[in-house]
Amino acid sequence: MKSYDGRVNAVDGISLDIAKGEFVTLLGPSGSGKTTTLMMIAGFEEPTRGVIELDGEDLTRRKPYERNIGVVFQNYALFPHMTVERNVAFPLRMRAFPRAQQAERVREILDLVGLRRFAGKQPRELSGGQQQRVALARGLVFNPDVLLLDEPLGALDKNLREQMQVELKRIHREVGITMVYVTHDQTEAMTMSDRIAVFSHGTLEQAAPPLEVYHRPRTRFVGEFIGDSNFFTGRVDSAAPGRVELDGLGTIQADADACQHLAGAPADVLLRPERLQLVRDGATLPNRLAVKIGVIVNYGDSVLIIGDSGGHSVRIRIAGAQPDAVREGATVTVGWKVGDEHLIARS
Amino acid sequence: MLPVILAVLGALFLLAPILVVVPMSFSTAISFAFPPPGYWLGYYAKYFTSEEWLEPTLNSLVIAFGAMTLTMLLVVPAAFGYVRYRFRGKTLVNLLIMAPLIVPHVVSALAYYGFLGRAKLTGTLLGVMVAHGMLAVPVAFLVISATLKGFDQNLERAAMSSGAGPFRTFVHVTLPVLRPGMLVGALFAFLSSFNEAVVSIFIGGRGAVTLPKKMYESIRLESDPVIAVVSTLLVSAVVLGVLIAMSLRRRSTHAA
Repeated sequence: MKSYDGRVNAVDGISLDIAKGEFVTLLGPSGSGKTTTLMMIAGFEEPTRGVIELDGEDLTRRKPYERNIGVVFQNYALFPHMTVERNVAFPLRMRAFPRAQQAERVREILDLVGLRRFAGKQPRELSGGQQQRVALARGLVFNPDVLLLDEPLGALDKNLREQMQVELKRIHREVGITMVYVTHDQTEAMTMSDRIAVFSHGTLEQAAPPLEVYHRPRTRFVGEFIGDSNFFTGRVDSAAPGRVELDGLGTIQADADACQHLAGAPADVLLRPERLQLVRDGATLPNRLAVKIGVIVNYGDSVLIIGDSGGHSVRIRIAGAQPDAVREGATVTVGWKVGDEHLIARS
Repeated sequence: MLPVILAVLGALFLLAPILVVVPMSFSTAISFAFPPPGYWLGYYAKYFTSEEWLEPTLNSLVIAFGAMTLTMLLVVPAAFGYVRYRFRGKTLVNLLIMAPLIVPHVVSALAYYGFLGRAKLTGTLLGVMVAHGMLAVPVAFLVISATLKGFDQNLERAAMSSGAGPFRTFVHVTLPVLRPGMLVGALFAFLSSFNEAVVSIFIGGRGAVTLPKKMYESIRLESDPVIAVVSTLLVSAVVLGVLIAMSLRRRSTHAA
């Protein structure tokens, strides 16, 4: 737990176990406490209460330079007065690696990030992507136990960012080091992580593999923050198994097991837009809604329909080209299978 | 086009009196005369050989160097404290640091005269050094705190996570990155002392005659054309100093 000014807790009640070699992403909007958490792991912030352990060893009161943890910053933070080579060698010098091995280790790590040719350059002579690779090399060169990355791709443009995501995954696989990655970009989190830890208002909402976070969010916040979503409120019927009464939209059939835990309780019902299908004549979907189409956004490979059903906004994503029946102002019937929905207990 | 013409005229108006001094320094006239009746280097020879001028020059250099050192010792820690920490009365502290810039030099001079007199430091190099060191605080503080504000503290964090403790972080990262800004601050402090006349006249006495004080006395008593030589050299020194400062600035902005 970390509090500033003793008033508002920046982060509170966070408990997260990270396995050796894991790639964990701390995901959340700005101000959610993900960076504060990262800075506490690095040792730049001291928790007001709580402990940080590594391999069973208490790190909480150890200074950053007494920890064996590498950090990569969003703005690279390369030393402007040193060449690429000297930047990367810096941790080795400070950590008193044997001199003879230093040069070889620097060469090795520059090969890993593909920057061997640039060893003699000044940081300002490199592009943003190259500078970030140098920062990565500097963070990895001394074989840290953990590498922390604070929105490292935030300053790059979209194409370069995707390229660097692939690159980072490759390096993670090759080196096998534990990485803790902070980002507010959910796509980045989805594509790179072994596990995503979703932060909101200084608390940890859920920590789970990407697909679980996507399909079975533990809270409504997580469901809304990650991916596109439809949320309806309702109440699980305690008498009939698998029946949920949606507010203003009637009764739907839901997964009976999920309903059992929530019998009689109010629930948020999540339906991902791509799970909704246009219902053609004779189709046998148990759940149906009539949707009046408002806006159509055509992505080429898919179509996003934003419509209205009984005063509720409904988003539908259809793969492929835009069907003939889908026109702005038209009314279509959409449906979904039992189990496409996800129920979240509402407190 | 008109704004350019106005700007050039303004610059000329400001610069002309200074530039007039340059030909006069090569003049053969026995007093100040413009245009010069003829040209020679005699007064330069006189300046560089006369004890009467070289001693104040040396005094000025020694005092400026000492004042610069004193200023830096005060300003560097003050700027770190001011930029990096939040504390009560911060605005007041800023105002106090800037005070020497606002208070008229004559008033400061009078105050230093009383204060340093009691410490038996009037008429000594050390006394002028101390006074000049104080006067240079605002300009050095402005330059150095601006440099410090532009400093990315993630560099220090990167150094620490690389295994460098606070001292090695400062030596290997903070100081080298801030060096151009520090040098500019120091240079300005040096020039501010080297060019200062009022306080020197008040507390320099006979024991610590600085170049500007000597020039003032020389103008009053004898209108010696050597003054034109000294002026030319002084202006050249200042121009050189500012050019150095500008190139340091450019290098530091490139680095950041």
